[in-house]
Amino acid sequence: MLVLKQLTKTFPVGGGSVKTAVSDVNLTIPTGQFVTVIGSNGAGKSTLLNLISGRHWPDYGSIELNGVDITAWGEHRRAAYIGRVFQDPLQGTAGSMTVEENLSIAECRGRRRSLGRGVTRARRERYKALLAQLELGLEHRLKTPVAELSGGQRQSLSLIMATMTRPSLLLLDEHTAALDPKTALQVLALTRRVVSEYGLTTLMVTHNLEHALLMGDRTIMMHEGQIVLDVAGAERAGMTVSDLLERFTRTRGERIVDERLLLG
Amino acid sequence: MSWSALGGSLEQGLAYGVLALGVYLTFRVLNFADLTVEGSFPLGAAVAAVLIVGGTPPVVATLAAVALGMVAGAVTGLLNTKMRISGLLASILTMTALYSVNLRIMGRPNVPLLRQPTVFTELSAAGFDHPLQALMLFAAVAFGLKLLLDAFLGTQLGLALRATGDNPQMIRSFGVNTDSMTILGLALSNGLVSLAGALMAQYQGYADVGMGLGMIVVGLASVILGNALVRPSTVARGTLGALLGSVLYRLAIFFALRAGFAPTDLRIVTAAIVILALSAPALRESLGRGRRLPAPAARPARGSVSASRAEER
Ligand SMILES: Nc1ncnc2c1ncn2[C@@H]1O[C@H](COP(=O)(O)OP(=O)(O)OP(=O)(O)O)[C@@H](O)[C@H]1O
Ligand SMILES: [Mg+2]
Repeated sequence: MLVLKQLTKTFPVGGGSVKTAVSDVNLTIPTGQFVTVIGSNGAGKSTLLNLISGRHWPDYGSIELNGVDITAWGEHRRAAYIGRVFQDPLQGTAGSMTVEENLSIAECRGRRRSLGRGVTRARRERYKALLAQLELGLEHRLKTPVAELSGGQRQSLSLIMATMTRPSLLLLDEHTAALDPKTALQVLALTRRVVSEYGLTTLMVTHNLEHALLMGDRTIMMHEGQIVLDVAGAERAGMTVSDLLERFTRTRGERIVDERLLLG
Repeated sequence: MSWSALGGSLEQGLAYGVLALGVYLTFRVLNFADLTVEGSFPLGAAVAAVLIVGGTPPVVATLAAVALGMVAGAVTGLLNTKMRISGLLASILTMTALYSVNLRIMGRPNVPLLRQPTVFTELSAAGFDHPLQALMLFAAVAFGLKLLLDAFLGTQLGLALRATGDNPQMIRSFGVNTDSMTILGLALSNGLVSLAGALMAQYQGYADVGMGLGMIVVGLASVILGNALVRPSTVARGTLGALLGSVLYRLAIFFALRAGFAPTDLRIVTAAIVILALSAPALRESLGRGRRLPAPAARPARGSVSASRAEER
């Protein structure tokens, strides 16, 4: 379970003034829940995820994961429990290293890295089985440097790497945004499969409202650093993209001007 | 300059190969421009020489040099990660400070090792006295360390170190402290460099405070030359390239001297070698392109290109 209390983050913007990117966010996500996060550009979605992962320190508020207050933990310490996939397919893997080396790095998440061999025969067999499920042929390319893979293959690999140790929390920040529509759907299907198979507690940011409703079991919308909409269950099940847009307009009492959001 | 000096070039190439392995580790693996080398190389020489003169067994003195070299690397790492000083500047600061440290250790600018025991006299005393003694010792040390480094970079820890140089954001997201990895990498690298310094001091019979001058360029020249020779697609090929590059560099210097260049010209020869090795891929590409396709201006429409290609065959 993830509990955010009064989480607040500001950035200095020069001239002594600050920009409040995340403002007094309170959010509780029960274990195993899959939450999709939407909102216009600059709404604070990435900042929220970065606060949870420890890339940024909050100005105020606390973060609790499975009953432990991790607010003061450094990024690499939290990473033992939090899996992440970034928007840029280049960010989630080490390009100069091979597929199997990347998987070995991921498998050691949260463990002490020893002087034992990174890729053993037993591990290689496990990686083969894991990759075979993707049906991308990656199981035959264990010794290929990741830089030689396509964006979609690389992002699928990132997703496998982020989830293979079944972290307590999975953070996905527009992880399909850089892919072509067909590949994006494949990666989404994979996301759905691993999340449900492992029962992962998940936060997924997307600009695609359709995906936001299609995936997961709860949707929150952010605006100017705050959560302005939070729907789940039967209410969400009956929702269409235009319902979602309408609800947003009603809550805020203003028109949405973000084209990406409208077209999503 | 006689042909017998060729053997000396090979010996030096292998000894400096150990330095090249260290430079490979920071420059290629960790992606860190580390100038500490200019200070840790004479540090190794100074520590080994002073300890040997003081009566310490040469092997122990050499190992002590390695340990202090590692400390020097760790200092650069700490300056970079904890004090947030850029890698280049942090290493320049350590290098600068080391000049004074080295003078303090030696007590004077030069410590001769005449008629002192060294790793070579130890080998002779142990019954291994051979004209190719130095060559074989350096080859064993250089290739032994190469294999050790290859093995280390394949361990769980080694993979984390490589990923730190490749994609720090990614490796942090898997729970690795990139600061620790940077410090570890710099310590290992400068341990190797310091070892090279300790071996060179015993080989040439003295330690000198100025012997670090230009060492970073020697290391980089070796790595770059090696990469041009052996495509560094794997770690094992990368380290092999560093060693071969170092030997090749010494041979190039040898032939430059034979060709009549004065020792004072060696710096410009070195620069020319590095430029040549760096531009090799671009040169190869432009030559290759010229052969395969007509010049862009004269390039006909798409369909006819394949037609004319077919005609060529
Ligand atoms: N490192 C930073 N320094 C300064 N300002 C920042 C920083 N990161 C984010 N911000 C600001 O905080 C606000 C929220 O940004 P954030 O990246 O969280 O938005 P987002 O909802 O992820 O937007 P997008 O949909 O465009 O990715 C923006 O106004 C942004 O300019
Ligand atoms: Mg964002």
